Amino acid sequence: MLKVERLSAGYGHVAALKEVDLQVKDGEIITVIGANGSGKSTLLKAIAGSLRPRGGCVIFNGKDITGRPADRVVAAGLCLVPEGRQLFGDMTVLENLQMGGYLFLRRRRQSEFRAKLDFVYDLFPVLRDRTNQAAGTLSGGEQQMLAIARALMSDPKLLLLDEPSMGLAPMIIRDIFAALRRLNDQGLTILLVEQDANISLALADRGYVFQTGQNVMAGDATDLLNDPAVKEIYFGKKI
Amino acid sequence: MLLSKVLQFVITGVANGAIYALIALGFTLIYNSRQIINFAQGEFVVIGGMAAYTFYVTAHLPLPVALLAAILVVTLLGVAFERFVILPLKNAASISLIIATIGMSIFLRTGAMLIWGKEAMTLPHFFGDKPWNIMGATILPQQIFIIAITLVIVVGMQLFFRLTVTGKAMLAASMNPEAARLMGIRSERMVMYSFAFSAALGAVAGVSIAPLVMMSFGSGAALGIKGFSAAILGGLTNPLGAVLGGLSLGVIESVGAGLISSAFKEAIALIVLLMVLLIKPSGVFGKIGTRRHAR
Repeated sequence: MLKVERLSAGYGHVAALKEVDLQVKDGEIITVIGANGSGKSTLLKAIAGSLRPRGGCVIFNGKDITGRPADRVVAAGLCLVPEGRQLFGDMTVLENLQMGGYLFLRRRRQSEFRAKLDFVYDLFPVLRDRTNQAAGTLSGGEQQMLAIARALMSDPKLLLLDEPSMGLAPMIIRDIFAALRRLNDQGLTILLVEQDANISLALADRGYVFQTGQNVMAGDATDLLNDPAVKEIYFGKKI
Repeated sequence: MLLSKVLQFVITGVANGAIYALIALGFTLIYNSRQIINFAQGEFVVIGGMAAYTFYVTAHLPLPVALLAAILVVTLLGVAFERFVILPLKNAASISLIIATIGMSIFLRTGAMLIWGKEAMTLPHFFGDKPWNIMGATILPQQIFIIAITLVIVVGMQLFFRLTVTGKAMLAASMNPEAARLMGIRSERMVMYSFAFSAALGAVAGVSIAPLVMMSFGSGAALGIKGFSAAILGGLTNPLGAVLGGLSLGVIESVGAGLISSAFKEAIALIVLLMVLLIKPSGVFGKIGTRRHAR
């Protein structure tokens, strides 16, 4: 479904991502783990079009989408839940979801929008209760649910998530990851970037480990979970 | 006697204030979309008025057609301004963009002088110039028109931003352009709409006051300052605040000029502007219903 080849990206003089290869197959949950500043977020931004790559290519469903601007990547069926949620804080929950379904609404496809809205409200019933509440007044967990729901409104085939567990209580994280599992069971392919290796490897099929902008390890999630080398990469321990 | 005098000041003030409100809304729209002050806003007003003069007096078009054509021309000018000046300065600092708007205002002012010369011009009153009497005070049909059109525009804008998908997308893009892009909203396009909108509002103000004031190529600066003061008074980001700011400024100005001396009229807006910036820079109406970016 997604094929990333020798992808490089950066900011100013900083090369945050150096020639990374990565592949996501239909129906998989893939996780990219690594410490702060390892290039995980940069990878997602470069795929989703928030950041223009400096080299390499991104192939999505056979189409080359390298460097395509974010507002045109969504239509291809790929949506990013950005780091820090980035909700429209003064808008209501419903308005945020309307923005998520912007492409449907703009093309006057009301029935598809309605169906999607019911779907995300069933996935996160708490959002239905909060329909007319300003997004900025929601709790952290509810905001993360809204951010995911908003991305789902565009009916993506591949969902990219940037640290959905950030700043949340363990119980809430469990709920959110359970929702991701359900989505995956229903056929959604997921690429998840996380700092918390334990929870994300427990969810994922396969994982990639990033360090200073490079992919240093890859393999089955369960293997990585038990591999002492992963811990060393995290804590920078020398052998 | 005194009552009718005060009433007269208030009527004049509200009518002038409605114009300031339209200009202030233009400032607010562009500030929200791009975080800059558009110093060419006053020129949009003047060119609106003068283009209407050309279409009506020189080209002999029927008045409503001439007015709409003038508004259309200025709207396209706003679009061109955004596409050819603001958009290419994508990642420039706000201050560079603001200087670009000052450049644009000089360009437009000079252009207007070359096209229309230095003569002042005026349009006929849309609905005759026979004043109405209200309890000893008088109001011109043109002033009633100005108040009515402002009311229609303010209500229309609220409905547009609250009820339509494009309106909400413009709000979303102004709150968080990057997140909006991730939803498929073309944030740059939304900025262009804001400039178009804002230019159109300026033109509506321009054609509406053209029958009441003599307008020449250099009239934009004073009108721009009035609208800017009104926008600052209203908190700059808040459209409703801009309207209240415009109306209050109009009334303060007219009452002040009436009670003290009309020689002070032009100074009053500047005094209000300075006082707001000194005492409450966030604007007097800054908090009412602001819809700004929050994380």
